[in-house]
Amino acid sequence: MIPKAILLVEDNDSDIELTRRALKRSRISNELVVVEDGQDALEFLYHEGTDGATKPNELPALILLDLQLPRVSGLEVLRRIKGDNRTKHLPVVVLTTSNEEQDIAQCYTLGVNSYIRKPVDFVQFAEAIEQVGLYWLVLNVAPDNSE
Amino acid sequence: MRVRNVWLLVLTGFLHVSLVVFCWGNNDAASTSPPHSAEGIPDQVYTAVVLRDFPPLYQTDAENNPTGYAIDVLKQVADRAGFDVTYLIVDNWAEAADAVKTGRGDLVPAYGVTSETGEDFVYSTVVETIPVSVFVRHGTTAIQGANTLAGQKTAVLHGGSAERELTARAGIDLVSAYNAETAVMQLLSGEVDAFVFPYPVMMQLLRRSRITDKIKAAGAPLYELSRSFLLRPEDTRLLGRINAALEDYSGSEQQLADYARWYGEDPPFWTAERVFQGMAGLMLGGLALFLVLHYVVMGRTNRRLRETVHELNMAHDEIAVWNQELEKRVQDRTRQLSVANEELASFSYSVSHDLRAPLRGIDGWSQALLEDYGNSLDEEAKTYLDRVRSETQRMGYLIDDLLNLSRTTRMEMQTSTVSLSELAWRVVERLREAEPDRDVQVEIQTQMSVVSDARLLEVVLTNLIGNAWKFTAGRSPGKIELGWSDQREQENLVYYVKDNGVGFDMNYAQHLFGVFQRMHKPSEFPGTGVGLAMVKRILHRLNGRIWAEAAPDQGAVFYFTVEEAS
Repeated sequence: MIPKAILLVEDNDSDIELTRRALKRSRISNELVVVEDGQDALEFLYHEGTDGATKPNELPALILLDLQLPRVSGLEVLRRIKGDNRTKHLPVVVLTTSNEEQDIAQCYTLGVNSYIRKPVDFVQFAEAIEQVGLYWLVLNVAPDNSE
Repeated sequence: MRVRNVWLLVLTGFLHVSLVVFCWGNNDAASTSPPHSAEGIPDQVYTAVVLRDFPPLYQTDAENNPTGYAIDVLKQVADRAGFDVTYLIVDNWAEAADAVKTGRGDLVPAYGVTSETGEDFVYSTVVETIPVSVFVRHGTTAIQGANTLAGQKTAVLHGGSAERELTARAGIDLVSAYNAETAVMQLLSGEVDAFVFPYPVMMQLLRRSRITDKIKAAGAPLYELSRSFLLRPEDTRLLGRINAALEDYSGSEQQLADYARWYGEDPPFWTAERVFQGMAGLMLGGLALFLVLHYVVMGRTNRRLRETVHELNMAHDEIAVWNQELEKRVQDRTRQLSVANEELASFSYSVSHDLRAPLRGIDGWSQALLEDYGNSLDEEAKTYLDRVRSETQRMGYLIDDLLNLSRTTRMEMQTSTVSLSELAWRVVERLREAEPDRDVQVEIQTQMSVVSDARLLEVVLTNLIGNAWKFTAGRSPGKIELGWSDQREQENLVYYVKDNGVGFDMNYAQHLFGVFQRMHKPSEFPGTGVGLAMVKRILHRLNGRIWAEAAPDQGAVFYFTVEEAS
């Protein structure tokens, strides 16, 4: 069985590659799907926009979501995911540089599963990614999506 | 305006009262009527000729019955002489005399006897003697007595004593009047210049008509007039009876009473009527004066009041304009401030995200180089890459501290009772956990508490105690003391954090609380130079302040105050 993908919503190239590198180092083999803004994330999840004819993508096993995104903000994406019956059980981990109390509080209100502040130190960052991946993809038991 | 109306009302009411009193006074004066007396049984009836209107001697009452002093005397005389009388009423003296002469009447009770009376009649003894005076208008000075009457139009009563007296005197322009009222009217109107008339009768007439101020007696009386009963010469028996009766009557109390009833005494000048009139006049005058003064004073006061009110209004308007301007300015500034605050917030947010992301990139790729190509790099290259990473992380700390600084000044305040002692112990515990090998003695005053914001105070104590901990690194044992000093500053306690650390040179103390200002080399003591700047800002927010005393290698003392929140 091919493991489900990890959806990374991130606009910073460096962060994308470092995340990919960290996942690889952690031997997490799930496919990493990257979308670079909130609108693309919603399109990937719900086939929104012009490309309405294509078959829906398989929902990811984990969503790593940045908050500062072009077009549609991370908070709005989170609101849509948790407000939609199809996606509300998807684990969403906010990975952001912000540690504003306001952001943290809003994310939890909207039903975020984890809130991780990206450390500047890459070693710490890699460790954080590894722990998140292991926890949500291996340790955590997800509900059956077909329910 | 209202005040003036009230005064008008008072004035009108007062006039009413005056008029009522006035009329009442009149009625009182006019209500005298002679008593009726009839004693004895008359054996004869004589006809007395009396004048219709010659007060107070003759007048007629409402039923046309004769009354008057002469009638009273006649009744007394008839009573004493034992005869009865009927009356023949005539209009003037001439007619009266003629009536007796022609036998239509028998007697005239009070005929004025003069030297010119003639031989046609006989006269009884004198009933009364009265002075006859010349009366003139007030202001007339040309006439001073009988001698000055020549050439003057002089009124006399038709058939009266004066007519008989004065006809004999040459040069007097006599005007004969049928009654006294007519003569008075002629005198008042200027038709005649003088009127010769019995003094008491005239005075009574003037008083009754209320014109004592218009007509006066000029000089001494012209002559004395005696009044007697006039009879026909043949009635000698009647004359004898009348004379006898008169002798009995004259000087009797009855006569005094009758005389007083009709002539009265000169009423005192200050009669009730005059007092009322005078009072009314005085009050009216006073009232008028008061009204005028009132009007003037009120006018002046009102003008001043209006001016003051106007000035006040102007001042008020000006203040209102200033207030509006001030309010507008405050609103503008508030808006500018809130805009600036929002900008600062979004700036902090940007710093937090956008400055940190590339740092992570630099650090990440340096690490990637070390991991992937470590084998092909010599030791020096690896050292350089380590330096890149450590500088990057330092930059990360600086950014984090700046964010904390910005957050503490934006953080919303929550007031509660904060135990500084407990808060300080928690800070110390964290420090001990981070560096368990350090040998530091900590003394904290017990039961220090203040009503303030707990989170902000925790930042203050974390920085102050943290600094003390850091700068006592070379001491064994390090000593940290937290307590309050004896001094107070504006009711606020002065707390202090004292250490035995490296201290600093007071010459540089002015930089102590600036952002990124450091007293020591980073190689000696790590730090960003933000901590004390943050502490100072927090204490300012809590209406307190902070200052320090120190010397190099002598330790440092940081004093601070916090205002008790209400």
